[in-house]
Amino acid sequence: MNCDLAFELMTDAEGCQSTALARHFDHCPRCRHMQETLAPALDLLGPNSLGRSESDLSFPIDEMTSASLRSGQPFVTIEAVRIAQQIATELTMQTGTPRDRLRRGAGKILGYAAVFAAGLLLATLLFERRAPTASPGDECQRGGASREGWERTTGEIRALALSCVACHDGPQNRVENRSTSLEQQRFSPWNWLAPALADRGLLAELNRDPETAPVIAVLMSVNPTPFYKA
Amino acid sequence: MDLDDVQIMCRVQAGQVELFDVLVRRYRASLLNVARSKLGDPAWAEDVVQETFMAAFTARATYNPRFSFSTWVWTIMLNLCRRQWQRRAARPTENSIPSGSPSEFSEYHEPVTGDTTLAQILQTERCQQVHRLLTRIPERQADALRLRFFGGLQFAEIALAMGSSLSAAKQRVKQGLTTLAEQVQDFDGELP
Repeated sequence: MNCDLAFELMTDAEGCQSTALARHFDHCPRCRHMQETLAPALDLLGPNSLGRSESDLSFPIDEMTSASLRSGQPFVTIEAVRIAQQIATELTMQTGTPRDRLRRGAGKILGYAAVFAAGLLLATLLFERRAPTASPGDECQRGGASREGWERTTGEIRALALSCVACHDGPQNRVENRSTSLEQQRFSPWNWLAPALADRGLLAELNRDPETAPVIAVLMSVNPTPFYKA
Repeated sequence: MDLDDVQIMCRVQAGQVELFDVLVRRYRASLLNVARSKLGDPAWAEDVVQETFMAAFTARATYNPRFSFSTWVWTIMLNLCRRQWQRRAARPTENSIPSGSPSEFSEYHEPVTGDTTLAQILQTERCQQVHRLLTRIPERQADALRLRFFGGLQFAEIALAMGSSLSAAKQRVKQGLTTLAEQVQDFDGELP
Protein backbone atom coordinates (compact mmCIF):
# COMPACT_ATOMS: atom_id res chain seq x y z
CA MET A 1 0.00 0.00 0.00
CA ASN A 2 1.33 3.43 -0.85
CA CYS A 3 0.78 6.61 1.13
CA ASP A 4 -1.84 7.86 -1.34
CA LEU A 5 -4.05 4.84 -0.79
CA ALA A 6 -3.40 5.06 2.95
CA PHE A 7 -4.84 8.59 2.95
CA GLU A 8 -7.92 7.38 1.08
CA LEU A 9 -8.48 4.63 3.64
CA MET A 10 -7.82 7.05 6.49
CA THR A 11 -10.72 9.21 5.29
CA ASP A 12 -13.06 6.30 4.59
CA ALA A 13 -15.57 5.18 7.22
CA GLU A 14 -14.77 1.49 6.76
CA GLY A 15 -11.26 1.76 5.39
CA CYS A 16 -9.95 3.50 8.49
CA GLN A 17 -10.52 0.28 10.45
CA SER A 18 -8.67 -1.95 7.99
CA THR A 19 -5.71 -4.07 9.04
CA ALA A 20 -3.90 -3.12 5.84
CA LEU A 21 -3.91 0.51 6.95
CA ALA A 22 -2.69 -0.47 10.41
CA ARG A 23 0.17 -2.41 8.82
CA HIS A 24 1.02 0.61 6.69
CA PHE A 25 1.18 2.79 9.79
CA ASP A 26 3.63 0.30 11.34
CA HIS A 27 6.29 1.00 8.75
CA CYS A 28 5.38 4.53 7.58
CA PRO A 29 6.07 7.14 10.25
CA ARG A 30 4.91 9.93 7.90
CA CYS A 31 1.41 8.54 7.51
CA ARG A 32 1.26 7.58 11.18
CA HIS A 33 2.10 11.16 12.11
CA MET A 34 -0.49 12.48 9.70
CA GLN A 35 -3.14 10.19 11.16
CA GLU A 36 -2.29 11.43 14.66
CA THR A 37 -2.45 15.06 13.52
CA LEU A 38 -5.78 14.65 11.74
CA ALA A 39 -7.35 12.38 14.36
CA PRO A 40 -9.43 15.14 16.04
CA ALA A 41 -10.99 16.09 12.70
CA LEU A 42 -11.43 12.48 11.59
CA ASP A 43 -13.21 11.64 14.83
CA LEU A 44 -15.41 14.70 14.47
CA LEU A 45 -16.47 13.81 10.92
CA GLY A 46 -16.95 10.15 11.71
CA PRO A 47 -20.16 8.20 11.15
CA ASN A 48 -21.93 9.73 14.14
CA SER A 49 -21.30 13.32 13.21
CA LEU A 50 -24.65 13.74 11.49
CA GLY A 51 -26.69 12.51 14.36
CA ARG A 52 -28.67 9.94 12.45
CA SER A 53 -27.98 7.15 10.09
CA GLU A 54 -28.77 7.10 6.40
CA SER A 55 -31.54 4.62 6.98
CA ASP A 56 -33.29 7.20 9.12
CA LEU A 57 -33.26 9.56 6.17
CA SER A 58 -34.80 7.23 3.66
CA PHE A 59 -38.40 8.13 4.18
CA PRO A 60 -40.91 7.85 1.34
CA ILE A 61 -40.27 9.88 -1.77
CA ASP A 62 -43.61 11.63 -1.70
CA GLU A 63 -42.61 13.24 1.57
CA MET A 64 -39.69 14.94 -0.04
CA THR A 65 -41.85 17.56 -1.62
CA SER A 66 -43.51 18.45 1.62
CA ALA A 67 -41.25 21.36 2.44
CA SER A 68 -41.92 23.01 -0.87
CA LEU A 69 -45.61 22.32 -0.70
CA ARG A 70 -45.76 23.95 2.69
CA SER A 71 -43.85 26.97 1.49
CA GLY A 72 -45.95 27.23 -1.66
CA GLN A 73 -42.86 27.42 -3.87
CA PRO A 74 -42.70 25.61 -7.21
CA PHE A 75 -40.94 22.25 -7.19
CA VAL A 76 -38.29 23.35 -9.60
CA THR A 77 -37.22 26.70 -10.96
CA ILE A 78 -36.17 27.45 -14.50
CA GLU A 79 -32.81 28.54 -13.13
CA ALA A 80 -32.29 25.14 -11.53
CA VAL A 81 -33.09 23.39 -14.80
CA ARG A 82 -30.65 25.65 -16.63
CA ILE A 83 -27.98 24.80 -14.07
CA ALA A 84 -28.63 21.10 -14.65
CA GLN A 85 -28.43 21.53 -18.42
CA GLN A 86 -25.25 23.57 -18.23
CA ILE A 87 -23.55 21.03 -15.94
CA ALA A 88 -24.58 18.21 -18.29
CA THR A 89 -22.97 20.06 -21.19
CA GLU A 90 -19.76 20.68 -19.25
CA LEU A 91 -19.55 17.07 -18.05
CA THR A 92 -20.09 15.81 -21.58
CA MET A 93 -17.15 17.87 -22.74
CA GLN A 94 -14.96 16.75 -19.83
CA THR A 95 -15.71 13.06 -20.09
CA GLY A 96 -15.69 12.27 -23.77
CA THR A 97 -14.77 8.87 -25.19
CA PRO A 98 -11.05 8.13 -25.69
CA ARG A 99 -11.57 8.79 -29.38
CA ASP A 100 -13.11 12.18 -28.67
CA ARG A 101 -10.30 13.07 -26.28
CA LEU A 102 -7.80 11.88 -28.90
CA ARG A 103 -9.54 14.00 -31.51
CA ARG A 104 -9.51 17.02 -29.24
CA GLY A 105 -5.84 16.37 -28.44
CA ALA A 106 -4.99 16.02 -32.12
CA GLY A 107 -6.87 19.22 -32.84
CA LYS A 108 -4.84 21.02 -30.22
CA ILE A 109 -1.58 19.65 -31.59
CA LEU A 110 -2.58 20.69 -35.11
CA GLY A 111 -3.36 24.14 -33.82
CA TYR A 112 0.03 24.41 -32.14
CA ALA A 113 1.70 23.10 -35.32
CA ALA A 114 -0.11 25.70 -37.43
CA VAL A 115 1.03 28.48 -35.12
CA PHE A 116 4.59 27.14 -35.18
CA ALA A 117 4.57 26.90 -38.99
CA ALA A 118 3.23 30.44 -39.30
CA GLY A 119 5.97 31.67 -36.96
CA LEU A 120 8.61 29.79 -38.92
CA LEU A 121 7.35 31.23 -42.20
CA LEU A 122 7.35 34.73 -40.79
CA ALA A 123 10.87 34.29 -39.45
CA THR A 124 12.05 32.97 -42.83
CA LEU A 125 10.51 35.91 -44.66
CA LEU A 126 12.09 38.37 -42.26
CA PHE A 127 15.45 36.62 -42.54
CA GLU A 128 15.33 36.68 -46.33
CA ARG A 129 14.42 40.35 -46.32
CA ARG A 130 17.39 41.12 -44.10
CA ALA A 131 19.86 38.83 -45.90
CA PRO A 132 22.81 40.63 -47.51
CA THR A 133 22.54 41.31 -51.22
CA ALA A 134 24.74 39.36 -53.54
CA SER A 135 28.22 40.74 -54.12
CA PRO A 136 29.06 42.08 -57.57
CA GLY A 137 31.06 38.91 -58.23
CA ASP A 138 27.95 36.81 -57.68
CA GLU A 139 25.88 38.66 -60.28
CA CYS A 140 26.08 37.35 -63.79
CA GLN A 141 27.86 39.89 -65.97
CA ARG A 142 27.23 38.08 -69.21
CA GLY A 143 24.39 40.31 -70.35
CA GLY A 144 26.43 43.45 -69.89
CA ALA A 145 29.48 41.91 -71.61
CA SER A 146 27.38 41.12 -74.67
CA ARG A 147 26.49 44.74 -75.21
CA GLU A 148 28.44 46.57 -77.86
CA GLY A 149 29.33 49.38 -75.51
CA TRP A 150 31.21 47.08 -73.22
CA GLU A 151 34.71 48.51 -73.00
CA ARG A 152 36.45 45.31 -71.87
CA THR A 153 38.54 47.03 -69.31
CA THR A 154 40.53 44.92 -66.86
CA GLY A 155 38.04 45.69 -64.12
CA GLU A 156 35.04 44.70 -66.21
CA ILE A 157 36.69 41.51 -67.41
CA ARG A 158 37.66 40.68 -63.83
CA ALA A 159 34.06 41.22 -62.69
CA LEU A 160 32.88 39.03 -65.56
CA ALA A 161 35.30 36.27 -64.61
CA LEU A 162 34.30 36.51 -60.94
CA SER A 163 30.65 36.11 -61.89
CA CYS A 164 31.60 33.02 -63.86
CA VAL A 165 33.47 31.64 -60.83
CA ALA A 166 30.40 32.25 -58.66
CA CYS A 167 28.29 30.12 -60.97
CA HIS A 168 30.69 27.40 -62.03
CA ASP A 169 33.43 27.00 -59.39
CA GLY A 170 32.63 23.58 -58.02
CA PRO A 171 29.34 22.05 -56.96
CA GLN A 172 29.24 23.79 -53.57
CA ASN A 173 29.08 27.23 -55.16
CA ARG A 174 26.84 26.46 -58.05
CA VAL A 175 23.94 28.77 -58.71
CA GLU A 176 20.87 26.84 -59.68
CA ASN A 177 19.57 29.28 -62.24
CA ARG A 178 22.88 30.10 -63.91
CA SER A 179 22.56 31.51 -67.40
CA THR A 180 25.48 29.63 -69.00
CA SER A 181 26.83 26.09 -69.22
CA LEU A 182 30.35 24.75 -69.60
CA GLU A 183 29.24 21.51 -71.15
CA GLN A 184 30.87 20.80 -74.50
CA GLN A 185 27.68 20.62 -76.54
CA ARG A 186 26.48 23.92 -75.16
CA PHE A 187 29.83 25.63 -75.41
CA SER A 188 28.84 28.07 -78.16
CA PRO A 189 27.27 30.59 -75.75
CA TRP A 190 30.75 31.01 -74.31
CA ASN A 191 32.10 32.34 -77.54
CA TRP A 192 31.24 35.85 -76.45
CA LEU A 193 33.93 35.47 -73.78
CA ALA A 194 36.62 34.46 -76.27
CA PRO A 195 37.44 38.00 -77.47
CA ALA A 196 37.78 39.16 -73.89
CA LEU A 197 40.27 36.40 -73.14
CA ALA A 198 42.14 36.64 -76.44
CA ASP A 199 44.72 38.87 -74.88
CA ARG A 200 47.51 36.69 -73.49
CA GLY A 201 48.54 39.35 -71.02
CA LEU A 202 45.06 39.66 -69.64
CA LEU A 203 44.69 35.88 -69.52
CA ALA A 204 47.92 35.59 -67.59
CA GLU A 205 46.72 38.24 -65.16
CA LEU A 206 43.41 36.39 -64.64
CA ASN A 207 45.31 33.16 -64.11
CA ARG A 208 47.38 34.77 -61.38
CA ASP A 209 44.37 36.10 -59.58
CA PRO A 210 43.28 33.34 -57.12
CA GLU A 211 39.64 34.30 -57.56
CA THR A 212 39.55 34.15 -61.37
CA ALA A 213 42.15 31.42 -61.93
CA PRO A 214 39.66 28.53 -61.29
CA VAL A 215 37.23 29.63 -63.99
CA ILE A 216 40.04 30.10 -66.48
CA ALA A 217 41.20 26.57 -65.67
CA VAL A 218 37.69 25.26 -66.19
CA LEU A 219 37.35 27.10 -69.49
CA MET A 220 40.72 25.85 -70.70
CA SER A 221 39.87 22.28 -69.80
CA VAL A 222 36.67 22.45 -71.85
CA ASN A 223 38.14 24.07 -74.92
CA PRO A 224 41.63 25.46 -74.71
CA THR A 225 41.89 26.86 -78.20
CA PRO A 226 39.31 29.50 -78.90
CA PHE A 227 40.13 31.85 -76.12
CA TYR A 228 43.34 33.34 -77.32
CA LYS A 229 45.03 33.95 -80.52
CA ALA A 230 47.79 31.57 -81.35
CA MET B 1 -33.38 -6.74 -11.85
CA ASP B 2 -30.76 -4.36 -10.50
CA LEU B 3 -30.11 -1.62 -13.03
CA ASP B 4 -27.16 0.72 -12.81
CA ASP B 5 -27.53 4.49 -13.02
CA VAL B 6 -26.77 4.71 -16.73
CA GLN B 7 -29.30 2.02 -17.63
CA ILE B 8 -31.95 3.71 -15.52
CA MET B 9 -31.31 7.12 -17.05
CA CYS B 10 -31.43 5.69 -20.56
CA ARG B 11 -34.80 4.13 -19.78
CA VAL B 12 -36.04 7.34 -18.19
CA GLN B 13 -35.02 9.19 -21.33
CA ALA B 14 -36.89 6.59 -23.36
CA GLY B 15 -40.08 7.23 -21.41
CA GLN B 16 -39.97 4.99 -18.32
CA VAL B 17 -40.01 8.03 -16.08
CA GLU B 18 -41.15 6.11 -13.00
CA LEU B 19 -37.70 4.54 -12.82
CA PHE B 20 -36.31 7.90 -11.78
CA ASP B 21 -37.61 7.15 -8.29
CA VAL B 22 -34.95 4.44 -8.02
CA LEU B 23 -32.26 7.05 -8.50
CA VAL B 24 -33.91 9.35 -6.00
CA ARG B 25 -33.92 6.59 -3.39
CA ARG B 26 -30.34 5.72 -4.24
CA TYR B 27 -28.88 9.20 -3.76
CA ARG B 28 -31.30 11.13 -1.62
CA ALA B 29 -29.89 10.28 1.79
CA SER B 30 -26.30 11.17 1.03
CA LEU B 31 -27.32 14.34 -0.83
CA LEU B 32 -29.43 15.34 2.11
CA ASN B 33 -26.56 14.75 4.52
CA VAL B 34 -24.33 17.14 2.61
CA ALA B 35 -27.07 19.70 2.03
CA ARG B 36 -27.95 19.75 5.71
CA SER B 37 -24.33 20.22 6.61
CA LYS B 38 -23.87 22.98 4.06
CA LEU B 39 -27.11 24.87 4.67
CA GLY B 40 -27.56 24.11 8.33
CA ASP B 41 -31.32 23.88 8.00
CA PRO B 42 -33.06 20.54 7.44
CA ALA B 43 -36.09 22.07 5.70
CA TRP B 44 -33.98 24.07 3.26
CA ALA B 45 -31.77 21.08 2.69
CA GLU B 46 -34.82 19.05 1.74
CA ASP B 47 -35.95 21.80 -0.62
CA VAL B 48 -32.57 21.92 -2.31
CA VAL B 49 -32.32 18.16 -2.67
CA GLN B 50 -35.83 17.97 -4.04
CA GLU B 51 -35.10 20.74 -6.52
CA THR B 52 -31.89 18.95 -7.50
CA PHE B 53 -33.79 15.82 -8.46
CA MET B 54 -36.54 17.76 -10.18
CA ALA B 55 -34.00 19.76 -12.18
CA ALA B 56 -32.20 16.59 -13.21
CA PHE B 57 -35.50 15.00 -14.18
CA THR B 58 -36.64 18.02 -16.18
CA ALA B 59 -33.27 18.25 -17.92
CA ARG B 60 -33.05 14.47 -18.42
CA ALA B 61 -32.76 14.92 -22.19
CA THR B 62 -29.35 16.55 -21.68
CA TYR B 63 -27.97 13.60 -19.69
CA ASN B 64 -25.23 11.78 -21.53
CA PRO B 65 -24.25 8.22 -20.57
CA ARG B 66 -20.62 9.28 -20.90
CA PHE B 67 -20.73 10.97 -17.51
CA SER B 68 -21.92 9.56 -14.24
CA PHE B 69 -25.39 10.40 -12.99
CA SER B 70 -23.89 10.65 -9.51
CA THR B 71 -21.48 13.39 -10.58
CA TRP B 72 -24.31 15.24 -12.27
CA VAL B 73 -26.64 15.36 -9.28
CA TRP B 74 -23.85 16.17 -6.84
CA THR B 75 -22.75 19.10 -8.97
CA ILE B 76 -26.31 20.34 -9.38
CA MET B 77 -26.86 20.10 -5.63
CA LEU B 78 -23.68 22.04 -4.79
CA ASN B 79 -24.67 24.77 -7.22
CA LEU B 80 -28.18 25.00 -5.83
CA CYS B 81 -26.80 25.20 -2.28
CA ARG B 82 -24.61 28.07 -3.38
CA ARG B 83 -27.61 29.79 -4.95
CA GLN B 84 -29.56 29.24 -1.72
CA TRP B 85 -26.81 30.98 0.25
CA GLN B 86 -26.85 33.90 -2.15
CA ARG B 87 -30.61 34.24 -1.75
CA ARG B 88 -30.24 34.25 1.99
CA ALA B 89 -27.56 36.89 1.79
CA ALA B 90 -29.88 39.02 -0.33
CA ARG B 91 -32.77 38.54 2.12
CA PRO B 92 -31.22 38.56 5.59
CA THR B 93 -34.53 39.13 7.35
CA GLU B 94 -35.69 35.61 6.57
CA ASN B 95 -35.30 33.18 9.38
CA SER B 96 -32.16 31.40 8.36
CA ILE B 97 -29.22 29.66 9.75
CA PRO B 98 -26.37 31.63 8.87
CA SER B 99 -22.94 31.88 8.77
CA GLY B 100 -21.37 31.18 11.77
CA SER B 101 -21.94 32.58 15.15
CA PRO B 102 -22.76 30.11 17.92
CA SER B 103 -25.89 31.99 18.92
CA GLU B 104 -27.23 31.83 15.42
CA PHE B 105 -26.41 28.17 15.22
CA SER B 106 -28.38 27.55 18.33
CA GLU B 107 -31.40 27.91 16.04
CA TYR B 108 -30.43 24.70 14.35
CA HIS B 109 -32.38 21.74 15.63
CA GLU B 110 -32.09 18.17 14.57
CA PRO B 111 -35.47 16.57 14.23
CA VAL B 112 -35.95 14.64 17.40
CA THR B 113 -38.09 11.57 17.70
CA GLY B 114 -40.41 10.72 20.54
CA ASP B 115 -37.85 9.10 22.80
CA THR B 116 -35.75 12.15 23.49
CA THR B 117 -32.85 11.17 25.65
CA LEU B 118 -29.80 12.86 27.01
CA ALA B 119 -27.71 11.05 24.41
CA GLN B 120 -29.78 12.52 21.64
CA ILE B 121 -29.48 16.00 23.04
CA LEU B 122 -25.73 15.63 23.24
CA GLN B 123 -25.68 14.30 19.73
CA THR B 124 -27.63 17.31 18.50
CA GLU B 125 -25.18 19.63 20.19
CA ARG B 126 -22.34 17.76 18.58
CA CYS B 127 -23.96 18.22 15.15
CA GLN B 128 -24.24 21.92 15.78
CA GLN B 129 -20.54 22.07 16.65
CA VAL B 130 -19.59 20.17 13.49
CA HIS B 131 -21.61 22.50 11.32
CA ARG B 132 -20.21 25.54 13.08
CA LEU B 133 -16.62 24.40 12.66
CA LEU B 134 -17.15 23.60 9.00
CA THR B 135 -18.40 27.10 8.33
CA ARG B 136 -15.13 28.46 9.69
CA ILE B 137 -12.86 26.81 7.16
CA PRO B 138 -12.59 27.81 3.49
CA GLU B 139 -15.72 26.85 1.59
CA ARG B 140 -13.97 24.62 -0.93
CA GLN B 141 -12.23 22.66 1.77
CA ALA B 142 -15.46 22.36 3.74
CA ASP B 143 -17.35 21.20 0.65
CA ALA B 144 -14.67 18.61 -0.10
CA LEU B 145 -14.94 17.32 3.48
CA ARG B 146 -18.74 17.20 3.30
CA LEU B 147 -18.66 15.28 0.02
CA ARG B 148 -16.08 12.85 1.36
CA PHE B 149 -17.46 12.24 4.85
CA PHE B 150 -21.18 12.99 4.59
CA GLY B 151 -21.70 12.10 0.94
CA GLY B 152 -19.30 9.16 0.86
CA LEU B 153 -17.87 10.18 -2.51
CA GLN B 154 -14.60 8.87 -3.87
CA PHE B 155 -11.89 11.45 -4.51
CA ALA B 156 -12.39 11.17 -8.27
CA GLU B 157 -16.10 11.91 -7.83
CA ILE B 158 -15.31 14.88 -5.59
CA ALA B 159 -12.98 16.21 -8.25
CA LEU B 160 -15.65 15.97 -10.94
CA ALA B 161 -18.38 17.43 -8.74
CA MET B 162 -16.19 20.37 -7.74
CA GLY B 163 -14.64 20.85 -11.16
CA SER B 164 -11.10 20.29 -9.91
CA SER B 165 -8.27 17.88 -10.55
CA LEU B 166 -7.97 14.68 -8.56
CA SER B 167 -4.90 15.92 -6.72
CA ALA B 168 -6.64 19.22 -5.91
CA ALA B 169 -9.60 17.31 -4.46
CA LYS B 170 -7.27 15.27 -2.22
CA GLN B 171 -5.40 18.39 -1.23
CA ARG B 172 -8.62 20.16 -0.28
CA VAL B 173 -9.65 17.24 1.93
CA LYS B 174 -6.20 17.10 3.52
CA GLN B 175 -6.00 20.84 4.14
CA GLY B 176 -9.58 20.91 5.39
CA LEU B 177 -8.87 18.13 7.87
CA THR B 178 -5.72 19.87 9.06
CA THR B 179 -7.53 23.17 9.64
CA LEU B 180 -10.46 21.41 11.26
CA ALA B 181 -8.16 19.45 13.58
CA GLU B 182 -6.56 22.68 14.74
CA GLN B 183 -9.98 24.20 15.38
CA VAL B 184 -11.14 21.14 17.28
CA GLN B 185 -8.14 21.41 19.55
CA ASP B 186 -8.91 25.08 20.10
CA PHE B 187 -12.48 24.16 21.01
CA ASP B 188 -11.39 21.21 23.10
CA GLY B 189 -13.72 20.78 26.02
CA GLU B 190 -16.66 22.41 24.30
CA LEU B 191 -17.47 19.40 22.19
CA PRO B 192 -19.76 16.99 23.95
